Amino acid sequence: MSRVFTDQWAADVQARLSQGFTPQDREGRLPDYWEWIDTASSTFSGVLALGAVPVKGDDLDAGEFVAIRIAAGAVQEVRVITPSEARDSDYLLVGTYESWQKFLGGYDAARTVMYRHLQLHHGNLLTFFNRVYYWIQLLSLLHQVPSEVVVRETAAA
Amino acid sequence: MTLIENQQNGLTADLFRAIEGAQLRDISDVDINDVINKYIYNQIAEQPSYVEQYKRYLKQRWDVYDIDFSQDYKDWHENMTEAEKSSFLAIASGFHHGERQVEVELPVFMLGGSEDQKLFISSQIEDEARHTVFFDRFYHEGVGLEGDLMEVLDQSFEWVGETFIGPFGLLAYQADALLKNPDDLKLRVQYATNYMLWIEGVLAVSVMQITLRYARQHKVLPGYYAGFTLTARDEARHVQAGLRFLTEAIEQDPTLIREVHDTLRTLLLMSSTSSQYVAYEPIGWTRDDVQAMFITQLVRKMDLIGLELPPDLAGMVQNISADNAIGG
Repeated sequence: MSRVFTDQWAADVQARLSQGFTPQDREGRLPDYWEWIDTASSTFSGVLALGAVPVKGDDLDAGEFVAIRIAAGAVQEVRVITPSEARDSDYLLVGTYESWQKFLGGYDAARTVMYRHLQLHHGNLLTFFNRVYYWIQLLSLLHQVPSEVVVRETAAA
Repeated sequence: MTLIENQQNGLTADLFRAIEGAQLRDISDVDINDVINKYIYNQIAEQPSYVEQYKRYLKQRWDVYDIDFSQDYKDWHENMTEAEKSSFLAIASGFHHGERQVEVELPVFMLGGSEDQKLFISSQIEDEARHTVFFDRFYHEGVGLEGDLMEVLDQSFEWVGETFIGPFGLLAYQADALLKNPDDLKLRVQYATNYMLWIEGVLAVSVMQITLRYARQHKVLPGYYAGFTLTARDEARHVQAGLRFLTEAIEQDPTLIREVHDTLRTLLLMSSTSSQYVAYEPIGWTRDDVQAMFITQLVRKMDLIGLELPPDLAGMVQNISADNAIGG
């Protein structure tokens, strides 16, 4: 059984994301950049869903998902959801189990998007990129949460 | 563009012939400013057909493996200061990744094109692959990085600020959307606005001027200068064909102007911030120079497709960050 998004992991992610970006997170980048992110995030209320599927292009019913519910830039809730709920999210980023294993192992979030290891399954493309650096930094916070991705042999083949 | 207009632009017949027919052995005699600010606009108002552009491609194709980077290696390790190298990498590395990115993302745009456009885009894909190899060779043989193509890209990414993810990340996701609906004209216009108008028509020509003027004036990196100047000439074909596509699409359906504006709105928003400071001064530029160049290139390209910037976009143009614009 492949598991990326367990209930415990979702709870840990919620605990971390609800803290927002700390001074340590902001180190090494210009204040203007964080102001941009703060502005972009403050105007978003909705659900960003993350999905893992065995093989790229698989039907969503073959995957597992987690929802990050955000209100005016503040993360309110992170929980495991069904494929049906994932379809109703504002944005859904999907990757294979191997992509998630690599990303959660510390691979750079910007390259993960740029090299489409995570793909936007649905959601308005332009409005998603109107906040792209917010999403990148939000994803980067997941590196701070312990995880253990199990990849089925069939998925890895 | 008529001969008179060309001459007003400073592109004389002799200069045109010198650029149009230059081979690798004599491209070093060509001033990059003439390519970017004069040659690229040659006949652009007449919109050469895709077949004509394909014929030019066949005559202008160059062999990336003929470039000698031995002097570049010597310049990099003996003749350039650490400040110059740091600035150079902060600016050039964006396109080390960018060339690979456009090579990978372009095939899907070909699927929905006319037969003539498909012919030309096939040549553009080959151009972009060659440009990818050019940068890979420069980073290997000039800078001295080791590894296969992706390993070298991973090493140079440290000089690419995450803000570079903007237009190239958008392009990757646009390609995904097009793959599902290759004939969707709205998606194609959004894609072309990002790729041909912004990435190639604004970003690329600006980055080229910054690093190539430095190399020319300081008489360093001759392999880089030759290869990237030839790349600039290739980009002229791409920009001209891309603007032709946008012009025809808008003529066919004027409501598509909204797609151009919406895409630009996103691009300008992404370009209004920067995560890292980039020092231009060591290689002879100022932040004001760079910002002015981006604005000039954007306004010029919009003018060529017959569109004005609506007031909100005009205001956003003034907020283009020099750091973010080059991917710093």
